[in-house]
Amino acid sequence: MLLGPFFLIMGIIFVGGLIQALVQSLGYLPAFGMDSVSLEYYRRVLTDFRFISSLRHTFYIALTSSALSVALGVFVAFLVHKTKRSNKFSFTLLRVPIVIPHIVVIIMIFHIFFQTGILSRFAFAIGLIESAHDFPLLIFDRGGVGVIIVYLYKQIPFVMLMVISISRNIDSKYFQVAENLGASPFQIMTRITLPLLAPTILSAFLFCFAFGFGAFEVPFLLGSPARQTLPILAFIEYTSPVLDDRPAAMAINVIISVISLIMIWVYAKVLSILTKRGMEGAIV
Amino acid sequence: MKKTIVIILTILMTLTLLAGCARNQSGAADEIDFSDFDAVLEAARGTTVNFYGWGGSAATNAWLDNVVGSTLYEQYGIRLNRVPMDIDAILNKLMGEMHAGVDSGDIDVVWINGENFYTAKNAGLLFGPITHYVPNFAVYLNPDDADLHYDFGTPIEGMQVPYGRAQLVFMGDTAVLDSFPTSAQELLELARRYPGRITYSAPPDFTGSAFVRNMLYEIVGFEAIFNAPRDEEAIYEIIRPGLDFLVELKPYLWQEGRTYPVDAPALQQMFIDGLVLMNVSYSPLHVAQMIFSGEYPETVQTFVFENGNIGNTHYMAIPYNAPNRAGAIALINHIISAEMQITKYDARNWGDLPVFDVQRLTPQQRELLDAIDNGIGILSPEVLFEHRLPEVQAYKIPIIERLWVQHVLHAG
Repeated sequence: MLLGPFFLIMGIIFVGGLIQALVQSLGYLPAFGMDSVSLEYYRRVLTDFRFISSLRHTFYIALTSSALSVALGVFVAFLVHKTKRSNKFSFTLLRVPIVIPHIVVIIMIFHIFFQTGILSRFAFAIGLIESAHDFPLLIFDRGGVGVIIVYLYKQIPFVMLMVISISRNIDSKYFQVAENLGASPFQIMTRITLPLLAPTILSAFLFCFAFGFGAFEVPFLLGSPARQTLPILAFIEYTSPVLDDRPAAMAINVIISVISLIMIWVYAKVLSILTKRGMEGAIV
Repeated sequence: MKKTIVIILTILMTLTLLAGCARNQSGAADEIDFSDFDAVLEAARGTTVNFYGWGGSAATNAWLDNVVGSTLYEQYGIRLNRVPMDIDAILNKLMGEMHAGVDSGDIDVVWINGENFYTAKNAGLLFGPITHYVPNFAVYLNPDDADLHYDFGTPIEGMQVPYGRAQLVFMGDTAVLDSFPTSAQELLELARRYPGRITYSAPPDFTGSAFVRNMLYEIVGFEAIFNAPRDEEAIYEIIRPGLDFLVELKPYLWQEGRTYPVDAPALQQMFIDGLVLMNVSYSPLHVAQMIFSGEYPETVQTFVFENGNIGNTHYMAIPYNAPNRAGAIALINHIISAEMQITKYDARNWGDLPVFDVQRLTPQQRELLDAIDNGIGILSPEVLFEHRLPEVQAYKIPIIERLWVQHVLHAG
């Protein structure tokens, strides 16, 4: 009952927006005198030379950033957990990158990693490079390094927080029993901790992936114009003064949404399998 | 509870009706002959004229309120009421009023240009032609000026009056370069001499897109692109030599043209840091402002190509249902007067390029213009106008941007 308003708002904003995008992507915009329905714009988008390379790059950015975030986040979380000195201060420090808005991180990363940034100046000062042009290109680069760095900065602490708070709640009896029965620390980690954490890690991965897949501002401001993600492609079509480009923008948005929904479905499937297995593993 | 709401609604509706009636009465003053400017001034005296437009710049708003508003009242007894509203909202409002059959709206003058003018004109949202009602139009503007005839390729046909102008300019540091390129060919030579030290922001960034069009103008000419049919294949055939030129330039650009700065601020940062030798801006006074704020050294100088740089113009129009047409004409005439345009050019007020033909100014007005000190490193309005090329049709711009992505960015 209390969730009613939540679902109402979500329904109106999210489902409403999605339906409108779907309708417009079929070329139906009566306000602009376009009232025929067709799949023409999907054909146009899917055959556009920019689309496939954009789709590939979007997957690349989302996968790389989320896989690295999760791997590094879990790794550092274990280290922190092992020291058992996770005091309040370091916990608060961990939250800082999470609350800083992306746009601020973008500016920060730009000023540190660009060819004229702090690192480059430092390398110049100690004689590593002869001019700013010698510094490797990490911003506006085709590999999206700058974009991925921003995501890592934001997401590693996020993954760590999730992992730490869950692993704290694991009953320590599991570990004691395992140790008693002669399990090595590696066995404890792979047979107890990781299976119990698997659902959390998967959720964290999906959060990171979905964000990297659908986010606009980071690749827009730090990515290469030669490697654009799907949301940027949609933005370009949407801001075109030619009204005919608008349904194409909506078609891209629908495609992004469909891919995201498929991801959620896969997530739910894997999660139910993992939970089952995690339970069995822990009990056996 | 319900009763109170009903009562309030009734009162509100009555008030709206009354307001509507009152307005219709003032609208009845339309009997006047607009070609008789004295009669227009007579009718406008004592009225308020509503100016609707983008209100996002404090300097622009202050100039309208203080300089234009006060002189308009002193000289003609007309009050200026500036209403800040984005052009999309203005056009939606006018379209709504048109569908609802509102003959007397709220907007007397609208600040407009480009695709929005195209929309407004084609939808019949504008009153006019109006240019022949505005005496200063014939006094100060050059009839051969392309800005009077086409706005982003849309024939103006007297439906709007120029308000101010912007122009694409290049800039470099005289302490670094002995001379600046005066053509695309010379730019290529400069890039060859300094590999990796030239670049431009990637379209569809506004400035980068204008830069690319400027290069296309250099190679294939403005007329050819302007006259091209509305067809991607045909436009490609026409601009192909220009795109080939940009591909030829590519290996000498920053990062060998494999990537580009994403927008004008990024390019500007690279210019400030000395990574590149040249910057581009659509604001002709940019260098003076940056020298003044200490971000550029005093040796930075603005330059344009011999054959000209792209410029665009913003305009004023009168909606079809303007309640105070006489006041609107008086205001537009006042704004394009030499005095107002000169104060507008003053960077302390706004720093927007004037619309008049400098040759048509009286010696006293000329002195006023020359007395304006907008700082150093910039070009005079006269030089800019002599090197000014119009924009092509707005609908061709995304096509050109797409072709650039396909044939220049992803070339080879």
